[in-house]
Amino acid sequence: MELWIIPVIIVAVFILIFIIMYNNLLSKRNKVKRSVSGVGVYLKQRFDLIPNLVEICNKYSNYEKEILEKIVKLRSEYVPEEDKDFEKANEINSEMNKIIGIAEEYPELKASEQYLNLQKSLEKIESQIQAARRAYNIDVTEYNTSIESVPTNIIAKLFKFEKANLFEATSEERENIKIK
Amino acid sequence: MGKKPETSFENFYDKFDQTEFEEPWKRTIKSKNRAMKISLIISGVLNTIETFFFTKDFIDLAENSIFQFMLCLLLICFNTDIFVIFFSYIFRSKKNDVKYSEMYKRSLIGGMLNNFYSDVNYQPFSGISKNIYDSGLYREYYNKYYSDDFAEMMFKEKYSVRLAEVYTAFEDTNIDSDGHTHTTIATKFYGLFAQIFLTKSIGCNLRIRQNQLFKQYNEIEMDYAEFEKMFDVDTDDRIKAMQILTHDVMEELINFKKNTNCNYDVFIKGNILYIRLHTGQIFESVINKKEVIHKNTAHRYFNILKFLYNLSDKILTITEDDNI
Repeated sequence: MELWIIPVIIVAVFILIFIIMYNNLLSKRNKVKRSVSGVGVYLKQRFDLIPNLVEICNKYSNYEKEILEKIVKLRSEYVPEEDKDFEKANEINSEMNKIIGIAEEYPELKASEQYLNLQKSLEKIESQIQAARRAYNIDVTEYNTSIESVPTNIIAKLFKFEKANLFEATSEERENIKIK
Repeated sequence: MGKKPETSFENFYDKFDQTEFEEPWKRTIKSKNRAMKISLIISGVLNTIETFFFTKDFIDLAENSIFQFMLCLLLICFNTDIFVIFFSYIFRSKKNDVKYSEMYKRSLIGGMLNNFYSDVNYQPFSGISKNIYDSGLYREYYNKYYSDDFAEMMFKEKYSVRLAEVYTAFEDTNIDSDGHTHTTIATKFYGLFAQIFLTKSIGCNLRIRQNQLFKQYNEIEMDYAEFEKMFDVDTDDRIKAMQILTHDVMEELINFKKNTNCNYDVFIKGNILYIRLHTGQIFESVINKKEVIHKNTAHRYFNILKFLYNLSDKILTITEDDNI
């Protein structure tokens, strides 16, 4: 056997390992992207209920116009694909929660069938959003661990794989938990 | 909704009336003792004959080597033990055991089932149909099936529940080159099988089982490190699986595994929940000389039923929620 074959085999094995590790990182990054879009879909579903919410609130109560206008404006500005950091989504969520909070003070509004249906839909979507966020965090943790571990961290640096952000509960959500 | 079950075994055991058990228990113990006495006498006689028969050889042995003499004595003692076990088994009345066992199942196990469920129809000597067991899609190849302790009842007066002890095994017979037949039996499942009907479908399949050697196609990761170490989850709808497997449910699964070290699997297929607990033999009576009802065994059965109750309660509460 020719001696030059040995270094060639070694190099080929290294290249193969390199390709496997790169593909592994890529698939994990894609998984994170898929999870982001999963959360985005549920957020969009939630925000699609805003016109309904605004309509019901206008019908039954003398809501502060400012809040309603602000939320409608935020909703029109929200593009799920561009809001991967969920910042805008969090802002809309917080405004929505404000409106729902005020609604609790109007017994007539609370008792209306339209509002009850809307509340049910909101609860369902909220539960799905929470599940999707948990799934997203699992994927991000897995991806970030790969980026930081040896030797995949070398490939991650070479090909500029960046760490993804974990979803963290907003201060409002944390406060809600405390109250409970 | 429905009655609230007694979840403390101590309270359940204290309230349980054991007086009806005393008579059959005494008879069983008496029969056991009598059998032991007879077998001791018989084995003693046999042993004496045996010693007498070999007296000359014994004296020779003792003269030659003390080691060989001791070995012979040991062999005779060993023989005596075998006689005792053999005769105590032969002379023991099975009638009393069966009576006690029947009472144990109908009264104690039936009582436990009635504590957790309503409309209980418990048939200790009937089994669950093989087709029902197979509907849990366990993908285990078996050719031996046995089942008893079948019970049909209602959970919270709303959900229909069926459970039974099930044993499945694969029996393989080979003939070697010398013409000898060898049979090997590999147990696939031995324990408690439960089937619970939900009032609505969750619209997907979800299976939770002990860590498998190979990764499943639809396997998902969970955000609970301890749970991940112990279980594998596979599903065709990750979000629904996440909604059902809340931290509370995962904790219940971990705690039972930790406390009992009993393997089990949970499978939700549309509107049916299947739970399998690899407990081995279950709901069988253990006759103890000190206690009318063997407390530890009863405690074990109670804990298994309690876990089944708590787990189904948690899963059903979540799956019946409009949010799923």
